[in-house]
Amino acid sequence: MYLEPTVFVVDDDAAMRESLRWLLQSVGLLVETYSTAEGFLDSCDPERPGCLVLDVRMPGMSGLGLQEELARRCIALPAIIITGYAEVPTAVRALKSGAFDFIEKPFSDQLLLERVRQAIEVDRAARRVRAARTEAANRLARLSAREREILEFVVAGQPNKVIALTLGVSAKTVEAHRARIMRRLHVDTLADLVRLVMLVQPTGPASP
Amino acid sequence: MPADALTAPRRRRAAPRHQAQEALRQREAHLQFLVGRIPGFIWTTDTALRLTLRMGRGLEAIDAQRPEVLGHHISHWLGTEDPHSPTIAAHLRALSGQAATCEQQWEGRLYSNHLEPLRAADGTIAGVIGIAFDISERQQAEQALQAAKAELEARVSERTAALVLANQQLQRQLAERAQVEAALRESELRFQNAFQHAPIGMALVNLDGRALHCNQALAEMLGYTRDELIDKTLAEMVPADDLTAAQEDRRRLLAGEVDSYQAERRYIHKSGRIVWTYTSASLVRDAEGRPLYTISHLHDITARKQAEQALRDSEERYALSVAGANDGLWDWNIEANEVYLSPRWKAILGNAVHELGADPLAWVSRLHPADAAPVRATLAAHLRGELPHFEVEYRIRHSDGTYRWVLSRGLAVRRADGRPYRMAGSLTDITERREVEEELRESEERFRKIFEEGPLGMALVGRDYRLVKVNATMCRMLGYSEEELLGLSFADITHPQDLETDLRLAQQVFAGEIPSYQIEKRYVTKPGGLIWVSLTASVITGETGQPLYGIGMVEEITARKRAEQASQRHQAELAHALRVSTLGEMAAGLAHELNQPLSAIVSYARGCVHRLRAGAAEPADLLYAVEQIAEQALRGGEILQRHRHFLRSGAPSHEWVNVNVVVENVGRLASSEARAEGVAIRLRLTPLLPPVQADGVQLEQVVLNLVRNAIDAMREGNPAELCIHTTLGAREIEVAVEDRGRGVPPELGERIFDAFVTTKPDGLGMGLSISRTIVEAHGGRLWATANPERGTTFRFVLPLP
Repeated sequence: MYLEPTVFVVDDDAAMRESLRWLLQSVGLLVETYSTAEGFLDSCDPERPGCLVLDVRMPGMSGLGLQEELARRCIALPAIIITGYAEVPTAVRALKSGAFDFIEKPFSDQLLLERVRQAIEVDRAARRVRAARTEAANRLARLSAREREILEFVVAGQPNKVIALTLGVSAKTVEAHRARIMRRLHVDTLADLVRLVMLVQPTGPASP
Repeated sequence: MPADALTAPRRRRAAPRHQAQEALRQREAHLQFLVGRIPGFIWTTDTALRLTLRMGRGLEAIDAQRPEVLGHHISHWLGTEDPHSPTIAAHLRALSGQAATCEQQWEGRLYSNHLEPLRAADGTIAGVIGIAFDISERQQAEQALQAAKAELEARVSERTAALVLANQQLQRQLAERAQVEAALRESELRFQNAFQHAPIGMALVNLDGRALHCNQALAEMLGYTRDELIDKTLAEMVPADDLTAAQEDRRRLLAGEVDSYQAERRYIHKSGRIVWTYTSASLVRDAEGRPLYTISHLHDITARKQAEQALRDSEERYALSVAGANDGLWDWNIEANEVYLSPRWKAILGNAVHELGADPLAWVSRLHPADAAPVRATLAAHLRGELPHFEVEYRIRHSDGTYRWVLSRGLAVRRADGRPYRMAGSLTDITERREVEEELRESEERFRKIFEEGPLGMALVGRDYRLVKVNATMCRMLGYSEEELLGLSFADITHPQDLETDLRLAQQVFAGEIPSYQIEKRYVTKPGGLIWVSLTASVITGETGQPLYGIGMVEEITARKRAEQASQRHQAELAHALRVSTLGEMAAGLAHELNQPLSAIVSYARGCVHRLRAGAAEPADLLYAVEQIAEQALRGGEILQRHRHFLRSGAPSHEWVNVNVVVENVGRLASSEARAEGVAIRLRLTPLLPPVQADGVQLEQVVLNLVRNAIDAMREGNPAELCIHTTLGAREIEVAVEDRGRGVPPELGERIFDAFVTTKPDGLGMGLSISRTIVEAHGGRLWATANPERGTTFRFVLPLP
């Protein structure tokens, strides 16, 4: 990770924005503030880690709207929604669309800071997973078509003899391919190989 | 045919009349000119000897300060009522048709008056014309002459005596003779000197009519040298017409029948023109009483005579054109029992005078029955001498059967024993004047009735605002008696809070800046109560437009005012109740709005705590945060203040309100609700709006109602935008609340402004109803129009003061 996590505050109320900046900076967090959802979207860089603190009600695009737009753009930044109205329907809608948390004003600073730290941690973990998956996919992409074909059988738990019979090649040939796949994917055991494929294809092997 | 040929005859017909009028005007101007410049003055009287005209430069000397004598009997002017005073006697003589002269002292100067009857066109005597000349100087000259004559006579006697003495004592006093002769010569020289240089013409004429001596003044008067004059006879110097009279005067003088005579006498100037003189002559006798010669003094009065003549000519025309045109004249010879009636007199009665028959008093039979007795009584009283003159207005039957109003004036001429033998006068048709008077009287009566008996309180106030006249209704309203009110100024009975407005308007009315005004004001009654009235005030002006009185019409409206006030109170209470209700609905919004500053305060404070704990607290940073905390606390206070202000109750106020400020307040009040609904409120305010007189809170209520309706109409709409405009018109300010919402269901229409009509599931249906009531109570209007694309615009206007 080459970037420090940042808390992005989006609130149309200047006092709310500036007081949140003051609070978050007091515990050593980086803070950026935006007065509109649109303003934030314009300058949003998906690579930057951190979390969002949003007011649910804003003129123009609301906090929920922003959250939905980020999801549409596949930007997975955890969002903490702040509201002055303890309205159940709003809270349900926010959480359904993937909000990290829903906090009612006036809020305890400890609660907010804790949730912000958790959100940053979640983001960091998620980014790690995403990075590993990307690495795995990159390695899988280096395999030849024949090797990917054999890998599918291996991950599906087929013994070499069955694979050789199915493909009409010698068991020895299958053995050689298998060793080369392990080498190319930098894995030593069958268990590691299966985990790597599962990371890229969480729902299981795609049908050929 | 030239166009002129058609129009020329008409012009020719019109021209003579125009010329006659022009000539008349010129003669009039000429008369004015002449009369205005004669050294004396003239006057005319009517037959009752009332002064009708006075003119002339000489008036300045006698009574410039007493112009009020016009129209009065001349005795006022003369300062005597004695009928035997020469001037009054002379007037009476002139009235009887004879010219008369007299002398009159006025203000220390002596005037010679010449009086003649003033006759109308028909020859009847209409009055007297008098002419006065200041003869003070002439009198002085005459006195000087008399003195000279006396001296002459003294000298003559002295000389005669001296001669006798000389003869008797010739031998004995021979030595003294030279001395005596010298004295004599000296005396003669003095006489000669006086004679030659006297400022009046003088001549010594011997008994056969030849002039012995004449002085330089006489020679100059008659245009001859003194030597030429010596040879002239009386017959050569006097016009043939006057010769007989002149010779007769002289004969009587020489015969000793008179000692002297005075006469206005004409002489022929060497140039042939006539010289008018005032001549007085006396006979000088010797010591034995034998006539020696006559001495004559001649004073040139030509200018005066010419002026008199011109005056008489012009005055006649004047009298004819002015009096003769309008007044009928009558002259009743009582002894002969004959009456002369002028053509105009007959015209007034429709020329049917033959119906009157021969009886001079037959006109009495034509009198209106109601007037006959008073006319007879007045006439009889005058004839008996109980009334100084006869003057009466009455109705007399015209030949067309209608009655004409006439003014008859007359004066009886009496014998020495007071018995009237003749009576003359004028008759003026005053029907028109009487009709105008009658109309005026009726109008005045109507006004008086309205004033005194009308249902409205009425009052006249003077320029000092004191009540000059009040009617019974006014007294009843105020509980004062008429006498009490008449001592007061209207300020004394006006409620102090209404006085300034009333006074300002009253001043404007009196100054002519406004014709009238109407206000509702309060009076304080005598028992100390208050009554509300509607006052309409204007001003009564004089003939030249100057204001004389203010007139106020007062209608009591206390009951109406009380009902209005009760209704206003009721409306204010309802409005307040609805504000409470509205704010209840907005409580969630209020909580959210208050949460903003509260949350900010917590964040700033906690931020400080974390920094202090970490030992990373920079004082400048902490200062910033603490200032922010204070600011946010104030912000929370303002929000509460705004809501509390909105809940204010009590009677509607009338303060000067800036409509833009009202709209801005509503923008803040509604901001949290608008945020909650995702509605953006945009204000488009015209800057520098003039203030209006209004209840600010009630106006806020109206705008807030419209804004909340608009937010409601845009729920789940997109884009949700609401715009409030203020615009300045010529006479009003308009506020428009424009939404992009669902719009008003067409089946509701105007009914949305009715109470209990609503489109909201949980609405009371009172918002628009109370809004319209409030706007109308401010003199404005509230209405709604559908926008062309989407939504509704609610507008209201407020009148500018």
